[in-house]
Amino acid sequence: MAKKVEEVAVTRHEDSGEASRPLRVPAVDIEEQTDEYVLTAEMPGVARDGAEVTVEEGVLLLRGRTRQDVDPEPEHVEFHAGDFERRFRILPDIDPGRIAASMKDGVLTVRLAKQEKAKVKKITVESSE
Amino acid sequence: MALIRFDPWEDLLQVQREMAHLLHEPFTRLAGALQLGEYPPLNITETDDAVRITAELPGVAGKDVDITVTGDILVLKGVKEIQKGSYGHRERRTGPFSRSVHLPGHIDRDALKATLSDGLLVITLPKSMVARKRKITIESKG
Repeated sequence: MAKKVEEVAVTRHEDSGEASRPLRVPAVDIEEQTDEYVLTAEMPGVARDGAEVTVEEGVLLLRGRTRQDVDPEPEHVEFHAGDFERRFRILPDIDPGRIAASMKDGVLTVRLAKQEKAKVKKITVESSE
Repeated sequence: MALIRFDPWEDLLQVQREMAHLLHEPFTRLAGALQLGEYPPLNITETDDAVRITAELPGVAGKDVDITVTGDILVLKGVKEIQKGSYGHRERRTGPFSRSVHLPGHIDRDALKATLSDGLLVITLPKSMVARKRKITIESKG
């Protein structure tokens, strides 16, 4: 299956001077359904109000700010409590006006509806008798 | 017809630039998405009155996580279910998981507390009174 949502080279965002915490890349699954693509991104420690989804010039940007109560300096470290960020390029068969996002249990779900013309149409074969 | 100058070195230089860029990306950024290593990842913090274990479990419901303490071993296990569909791209870890942590001896096991919210499991293990740090006032005589 051809990948319809491709990742754009991840770039560090340079717009703020407050970026003291490391940025993390969330793990992402992309599922194709008949009339939409469903993208799920894992952002543990990000509450609903900390998640941000924007679409600009064909690029979908996912961001998550982790809660401040996550231990800043643990003795034993297996993950770094930084904010999350990842970008994807969306192809023309996605309707940029119909993108919906929700956040639950640290998982950001983004639903990207396909353009009407991109949907699979089933054509009934008539018998010509 | 315009001639295009053939420069084999330009391609090599481009590869070199890209490699340099990759090498300057902190490894943790890539490791984060690939979820290498043991699952779930744990952070452990010790304060004056408690030991706190934080585990990243995005998309896992509280009912699917089981925490047991036997002797001085804490076992955290469960299963992470992701709805099966026609995935074009998969990175998220799924399936059963298990981690064990050796606890320090001075934990009050009956006071263990665990909360799971926003995909973060926080297990708080208060230290027993004997093990807590106490400040002793030095009295002056005379």
